[in-house]
Amino acid sequence: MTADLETAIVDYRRRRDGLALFDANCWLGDPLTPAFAPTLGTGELSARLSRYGIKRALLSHTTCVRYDPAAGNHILLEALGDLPGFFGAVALVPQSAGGSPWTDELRSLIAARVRAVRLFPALHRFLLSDEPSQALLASMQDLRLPLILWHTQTRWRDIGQICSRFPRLPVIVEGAGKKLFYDNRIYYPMLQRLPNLLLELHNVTNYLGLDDMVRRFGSAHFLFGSYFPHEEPGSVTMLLTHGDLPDDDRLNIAGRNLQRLIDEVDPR
Amino acid sequence: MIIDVHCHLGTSPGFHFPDPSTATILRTMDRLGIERAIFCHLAMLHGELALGLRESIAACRMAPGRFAFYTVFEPGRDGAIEFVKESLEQPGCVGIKLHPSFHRCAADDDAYEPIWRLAAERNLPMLTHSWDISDDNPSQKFSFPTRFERYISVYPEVKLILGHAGGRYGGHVAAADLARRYPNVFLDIAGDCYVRGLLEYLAENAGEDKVLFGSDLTWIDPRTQLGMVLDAEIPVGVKEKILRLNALRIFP
Repeated sequence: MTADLETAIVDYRRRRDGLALFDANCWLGDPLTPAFAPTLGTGELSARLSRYGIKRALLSHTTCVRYDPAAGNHILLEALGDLPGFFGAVALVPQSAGGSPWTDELRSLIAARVRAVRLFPALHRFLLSDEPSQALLASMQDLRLPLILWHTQTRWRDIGQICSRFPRLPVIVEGAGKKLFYDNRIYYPMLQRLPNLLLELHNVTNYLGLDDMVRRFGSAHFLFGSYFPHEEPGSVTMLLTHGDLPDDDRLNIAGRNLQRLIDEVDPR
Repeated sequence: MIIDVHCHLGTSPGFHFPDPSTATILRTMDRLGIERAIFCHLAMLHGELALGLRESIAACRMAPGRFAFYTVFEPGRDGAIEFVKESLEQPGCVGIKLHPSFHRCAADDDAYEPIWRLAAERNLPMLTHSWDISDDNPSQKFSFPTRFERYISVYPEVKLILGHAGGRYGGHVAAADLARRYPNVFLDIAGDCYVRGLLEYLAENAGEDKVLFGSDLTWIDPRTQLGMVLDAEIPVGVKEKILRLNALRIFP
């Protein structure tokens, strides 16, 4: 079997490397959950990701979750300077603007290679439905700056309302800490009717789940994401390398969809 | 070729299963090089014992040699041990599944004594759900790995596979410790257990002869565990043990 296994490994890596993976969910900083592998510094990240065939990533910093969004964003923006080709996803608290318009701050973040905003309504204890949140979301829509939400931080009803109210705002839902696919009877109808709803895939690992969704809704709704370095990228990667998917869809999910979102930010 | 020691047929009520048919599962197995799948029908785990047994037998008849199955012991249920004995009369039934969390009966409860005794008498392997303490799901505490030690130590001749290798970090550590200390304890990697460095940790701390490939299909896609194995920073020979050779020692 050894020869067969070595062949399988080579075949897997060949398929994986052909995808030019662009990771929508990658983190710097001390892990949010206990880990067996050591924490990676900025200098090691790119090389480690490359080992998994991941060429580029949208990065966040765990200090935003463990401690303070502003502190985490500051570290992230500094790190981006050492990571050409990588982009940032900052964590914001809508109520922190003190009534000032968000657009100028968002533009300065975009200039620093930020291409998405994370909100944590449960952790940071605010309502997505209140005026400060709606003002931030409106500014993000104007700039086409994608929103990232964990499904454990809000309710699907709120996600649906945001998608409907801000139809030009890409809304990316991630599963963190709880299987996203448990909710597939809720998000299937939403994917059908909300073109701006996207799912990041590291926690959508139910049997044939991705293949089924792509057949039903097309590939534009889905982004490769690994939740590295908390989790092993190979788990979600093989859903693509060995998925029952047309090559075009495979490449869209692997990186083209995220690239499209990034290209569309700040359309002036 | 791969042996999957922890998968399922059937469905669960809580979410949509895209295609759980036996024919599709066989196609998946063919595509991924899974030569044999040892499953526990979800109907049995959900208490529909007769339905699950009927469909288990049908699957084994449909693809002889490709499928084998675990029957389920449900502690506290009238006739539970008789159902296990009846199942064991059927071709393809090769072991017993425990699920202390589903059955809300802690793994060290007296209620499990009869099934461990039966497994010892008949030289049958057992697969059990194991998991970490969970805020989201309090019944996972019933399956924390250390709870199995009571019976593991009393019945050293019974091979016990701790499914999901303890589930999450704290459970993984406890499961690896048990596997290292007891020759009759094995770990499988089924489920959404993707924490970075897991396989390297298990191979080193439980032992490379103690880790088994499992998927948790029809819940979880087997490509996810296989991708982890192919990517893992362990020698190819150890991957071969995980994917097949270790399972052959339990299911020759």
